[in-house]
Amino acid sequence: MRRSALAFWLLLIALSWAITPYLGAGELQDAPKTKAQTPAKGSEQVTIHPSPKNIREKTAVFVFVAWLWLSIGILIYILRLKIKEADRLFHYRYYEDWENATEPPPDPCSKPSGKK
Amino acid sequence: MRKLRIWLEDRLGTVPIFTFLRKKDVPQHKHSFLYYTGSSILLFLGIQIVTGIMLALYYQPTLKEANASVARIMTEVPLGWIIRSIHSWSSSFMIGLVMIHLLGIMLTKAYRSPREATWMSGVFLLVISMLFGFTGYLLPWDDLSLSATKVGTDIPNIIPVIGAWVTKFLRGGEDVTGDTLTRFFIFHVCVLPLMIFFILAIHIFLVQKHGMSIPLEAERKKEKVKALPFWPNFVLRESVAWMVLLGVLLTVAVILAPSLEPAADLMAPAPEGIKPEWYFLFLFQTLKIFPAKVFFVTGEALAVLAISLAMAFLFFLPLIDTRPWEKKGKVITWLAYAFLFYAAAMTVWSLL
Repeated sequence: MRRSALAFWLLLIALSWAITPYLGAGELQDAPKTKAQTPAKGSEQVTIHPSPKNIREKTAVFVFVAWLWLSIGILIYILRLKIKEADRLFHYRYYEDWENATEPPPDPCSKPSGKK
Repeated sequence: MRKLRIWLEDRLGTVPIFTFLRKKDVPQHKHSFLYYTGSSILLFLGIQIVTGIMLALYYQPTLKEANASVARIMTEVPLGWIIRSIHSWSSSFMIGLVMIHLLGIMLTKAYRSPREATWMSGVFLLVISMLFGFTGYLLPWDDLSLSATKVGTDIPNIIPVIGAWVTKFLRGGEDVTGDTLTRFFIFHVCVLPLMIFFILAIHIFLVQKHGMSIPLEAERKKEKVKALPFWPNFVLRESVAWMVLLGVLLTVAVILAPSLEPAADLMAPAPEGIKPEWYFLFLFQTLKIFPAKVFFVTGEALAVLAISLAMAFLFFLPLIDTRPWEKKGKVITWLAYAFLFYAAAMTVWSLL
């Protein structure tokens, strides 16, 4: 349990390191720095489109999205393992108050329902 | 760490809460996915609060600075544009999920006794969520938001006796001006959050008190529905849904960030193609399709009357459909589908 928690945190730190250059350095918000300053009286006002203006920024956006989904995928994989473990414990009535139980516990050799 | 936990538990008296959560069960059936919508709404509300506070640090609700401060957020504040985009998109996600949540409850008839008050508080939360959207739409202070707010704040004017006063109160005068902007900002960051927290607390308390509903078939056949412990089994499943929703939100927010139009000119005529947010489009189109005059009544007044009656029907639904669990309630199901079809058709029509 402790080892998996350690692995989880290490993975999270590694992922955040990978993402930080794209977030911390403010790469993504560079795009709309063209005419978007406070409009002075009489000056022409423009619509600000916050989209990447060059290939570098576009790549940064896609890299960010890719990292995001990769980390979500890994987290979902870990969560699935945790769900399986929690379901198994529930099946063996691990959480029940055995002092007041009226039924005997299930056979430890039986498998959780819905699983082959 | 253990000592700190015990110290906190002694002071805060949280032991009964944790005992309750440990013993709480969530029914498992084919409509179980509806349970995830409730918690996902909370996720988006949390995102709204965090991003809203971040935006409020830089936003200035004055006629001169509103649009310029949003422009600064988008161009000068580090990651400002993405924070604004997340705030904007998560509001849409939240209202969409509130609608799905209510529709699901309507279809499964989970509003019936003893959950009438839970439903009513839920309808209140939908209205508050939409008011959040309405007040927030004006804050960037561009031509489109100004015109949409003019149309929106003009609607109460039709109501006899109090209508004119409500419009004047909302606008802070006869017309939409800088005073309206300040008022909408106060509603958006102060009044509505207080209201949503209060009603949300009641709603969550009622959900915990009455428990989660089970399908009509199971209730009719007196079947025992399988249940899953809330902690940790259901919470872990919920976390997966949260992860996916967060991923979708961030992806959409990065790729489709909303733009900012130039500052509104109060003296300029209304621009063409005024449109509110997507969740108001069906109401907007309803107002448009009514003829100018029907007998002695204006079409607008009739439209407002029809919308008010529909809202009243929605709010008082548990008091209208008071039948016991055994009854299927096909009429309500068909009404829900008819409303869904109408809202979708009107929205598409408005976009064309």
